[in-house]
Amino acid sequence: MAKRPSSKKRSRRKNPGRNGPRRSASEHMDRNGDGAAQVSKTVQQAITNMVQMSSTVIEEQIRAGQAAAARMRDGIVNSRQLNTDVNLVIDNLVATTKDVGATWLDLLSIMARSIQSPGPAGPGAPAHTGTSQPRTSTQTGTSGGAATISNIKPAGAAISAAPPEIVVTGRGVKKVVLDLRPHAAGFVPIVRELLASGQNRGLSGIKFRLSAQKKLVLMVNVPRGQAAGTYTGVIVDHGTNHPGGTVSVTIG
Amino acid sequence: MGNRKPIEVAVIGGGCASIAAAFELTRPEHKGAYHVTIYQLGWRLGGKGSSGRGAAGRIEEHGLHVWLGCYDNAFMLLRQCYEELKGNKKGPGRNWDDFFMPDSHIAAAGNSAHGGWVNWAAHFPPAPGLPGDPLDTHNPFTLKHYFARGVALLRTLLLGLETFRATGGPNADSAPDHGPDNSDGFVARAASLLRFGALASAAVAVEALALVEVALKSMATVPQNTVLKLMEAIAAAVRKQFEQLVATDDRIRYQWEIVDLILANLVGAIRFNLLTDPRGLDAINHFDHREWLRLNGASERAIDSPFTRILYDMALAYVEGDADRPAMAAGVALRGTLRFFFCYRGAPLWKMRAGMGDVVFAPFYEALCRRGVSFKFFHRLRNVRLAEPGKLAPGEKQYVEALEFDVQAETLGGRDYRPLVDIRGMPCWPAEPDYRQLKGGAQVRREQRDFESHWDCRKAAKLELQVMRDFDFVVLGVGIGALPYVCSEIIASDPRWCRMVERVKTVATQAFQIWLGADLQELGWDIPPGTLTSFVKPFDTWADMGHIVPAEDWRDRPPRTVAYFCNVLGDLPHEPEASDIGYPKRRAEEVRANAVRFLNRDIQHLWPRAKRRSGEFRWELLVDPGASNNGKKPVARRARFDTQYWTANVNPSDRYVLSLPGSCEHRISPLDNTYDNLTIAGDWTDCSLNVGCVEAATISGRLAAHAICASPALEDIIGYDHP
Repeated sequence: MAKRPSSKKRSRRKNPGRNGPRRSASEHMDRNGDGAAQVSKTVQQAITNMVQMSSTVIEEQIRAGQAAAARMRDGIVNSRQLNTDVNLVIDNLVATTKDVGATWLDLLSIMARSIQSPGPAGPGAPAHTGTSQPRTSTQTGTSGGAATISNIKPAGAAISAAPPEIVVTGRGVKKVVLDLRPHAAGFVPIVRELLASGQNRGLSGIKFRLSAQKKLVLMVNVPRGQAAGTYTGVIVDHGTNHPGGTVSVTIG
Repeated sequence: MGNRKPIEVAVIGGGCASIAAAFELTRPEHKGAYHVTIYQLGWRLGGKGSSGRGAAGRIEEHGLHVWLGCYDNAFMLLRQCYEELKGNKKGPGRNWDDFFMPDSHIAAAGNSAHGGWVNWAAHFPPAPGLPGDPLDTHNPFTLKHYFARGVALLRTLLLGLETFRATGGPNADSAPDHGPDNSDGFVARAASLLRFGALASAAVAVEALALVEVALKSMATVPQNTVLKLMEAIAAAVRKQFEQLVATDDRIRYQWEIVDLILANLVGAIRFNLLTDPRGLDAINHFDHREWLRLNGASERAIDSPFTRILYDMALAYVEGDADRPAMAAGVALRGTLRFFFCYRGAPLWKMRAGMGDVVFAPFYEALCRRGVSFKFFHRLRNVRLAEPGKLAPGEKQYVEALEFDVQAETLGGRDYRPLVDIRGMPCWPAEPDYRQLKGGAQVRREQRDFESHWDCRKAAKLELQVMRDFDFVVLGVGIGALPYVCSEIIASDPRWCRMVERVKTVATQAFQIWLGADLQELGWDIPPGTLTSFVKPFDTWADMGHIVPAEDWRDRPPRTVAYFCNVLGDLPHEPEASDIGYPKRRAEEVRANAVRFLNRDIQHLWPRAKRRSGEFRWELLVDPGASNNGKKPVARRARFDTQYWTANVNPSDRYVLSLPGSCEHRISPLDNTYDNLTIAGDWTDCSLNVGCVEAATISGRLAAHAICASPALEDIIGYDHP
């Protein structure tokens, strides 16, 4: 074997910056532009909608489908004749199937669209540029006989991370859950009317105010006679109308 | 670069990973900083993806090669290669999509409730973009993309599903031919609709409820336990109802199996914290995929369904080639599923319009030649020799000191071997070497040397390459099955390498191709041509490849269609001796017998009109290239099969790598710097995807290039950082 020439230095690989892939799914989503906070909020909202709709629509459809099936079974066994009723049952059955399928797929489409829509990191809002991940702060308690859960997940270090206090007035409130995700220091939250499945009347007495110590407080005022149910709604920024959280109130 | 001498890189092997590494290292941006030499066994590039042109210019492959629409790295490099060749030609060049055909039709075969086989088929909707497009156009790895594609997929599967019986035409349960006056037919239709309607409405209900149920359990901010309990009760009731329905109806059964599998995956993703675990999907790699589905509530019916078997069949995931021992790491399977279903662009499958050698490796060969890459064919690596520990300076890492080769054949006058032939204007790899270019070529031909056989060790000379004199860096791109034979020093001294070669298993494969004088409809296959898997062993995967006939060189009566079949080939109890030169031929004879038996016994389930009354295959359907091109009398009856093509891929480097449970953590990354002038490349390395395929090999090759020159950036390797 020839001697190694002393004048030449052997080439060596440098140690790479890392030795493997980044696997964390949440980091992966962040890197690809779907901020975890935004995803979480929109998915939760869509899921809430799905719960409300599925509990009313789908159960009803299953019952209708089973009833139709039973009627048709009887028809086939007893007569084995073509008649208008059977045709009608078949048509209804197929229509039911299509309707339920379409409803469900539409729900998923809504979820997909909501994820695609500009979220808290919209125009004018600061982008996620730092490497440190925002953390959620949670405060639990009771107020007016209701359990309260207050979460806050600020988008940056410059935004206060103190969970707002929740103050409940009125009867029959079992639980209030606040999930606030301010995306800028100037975020001024307001709450739209909360809605519940199957209820014609929403819940509108929900407001944010500043305490004497300049701390944010969520005031939940439930009027007498408010129907039982879980009322949910979106928190938006007063100035930009960008969504920045959700709130749910369970009554009854 | 100026006058500085380039860094010499020796690339061992000419498969996808090696070619990708060479392509990256010789990009114009590097300004000639790296000179690459590729050392290749035998006369052709391609490794497991190599192909050759035989009689009548027929394309002869190692097996079925279909590129998935999610092979972004592979497509990106190939498209860049085509662009580069176009830019260098005076006349109009060809585009990559002239040679790839989108295929949206996927089928699976399963046992019918009424006996025999029933074929499930689905047409997958086109997805935005084309494979290899820049990611900022259609980034397939975002959550919104997964959701949007998930909706499209489920819509396809649940509402567009069709089943077909082999007797031809749609399943009688779903679309009978009875006229309006036929009361029995109407009753049958009504009964079918009854079952279908009941199932479909319940299926969507269960799916929606399960999705809500899983999501609610994971999100403390929607604590509606009462609703949850109610929904669980409904789901349980509906599941019970399904179980009664699915026993008798193929269509309903298949729909339920899909729903059941989707449910199990969703539940498992939450139960195993896959969205937050820093290991991503690797966190469940110690489970077998089916075992993991079972843990998450999937029914035995769904676990044994064609939709689960598809994964195992596509990944050839059978230990030692034993059909009774399917095994695949759950995380790898789920990652593959996500990427297959949610990340494809254009179409889920892309079929080549000629051989993989012709479409992929010939253009790369030409592009790399133009970049100044040197090719050394007929070089068999014998040993990777490490520097003796005593030679190392204090703190110096271990390194490769020499590479020892057998030179299998020498060229006349020491000229470069020119490997390509022209078939219908297309540069192609021949099925055998051009002996005219070899010293003593006639003699070599008479001796019937098999340059690609592990057991044929005849050689013309030996060659030793030395570090600093002949190379600076080494990219070891041979198959993992070959490592014990060429890296014995490393394996003996390095426990990590030892564990890798012990735990990361491989499997032999078998394949055959037949050229038919009848089209698929004449054979009794009535749905569109496509790719079918999950069929009977040993040839569970079939692809219609009739579209390649124009690329072949038929003169009279060209075939009407071409069929490729493949899957695993079981290992024998004992490894053959190193000197057992007849071993590959004996295994090939076994494959021939398997193929003949398969055509006589099993193909009738797919092609009912391809059999005689006696049940035997109609051998006259096979097109004899000698008769077609040379006017000879066709070979008679069963012997006609001998005019077709079959192969037993038993060479260690040809064996397909498996992703067995508990094995992936023993893979070593191309980025590993234990030996500071060596990197590895291949789908068997720890390359993120970690499953045997073109894309994994390409990612690995790009990683190997990064290990040497820090380019491409890891963030630019598409999907490398996928969970």
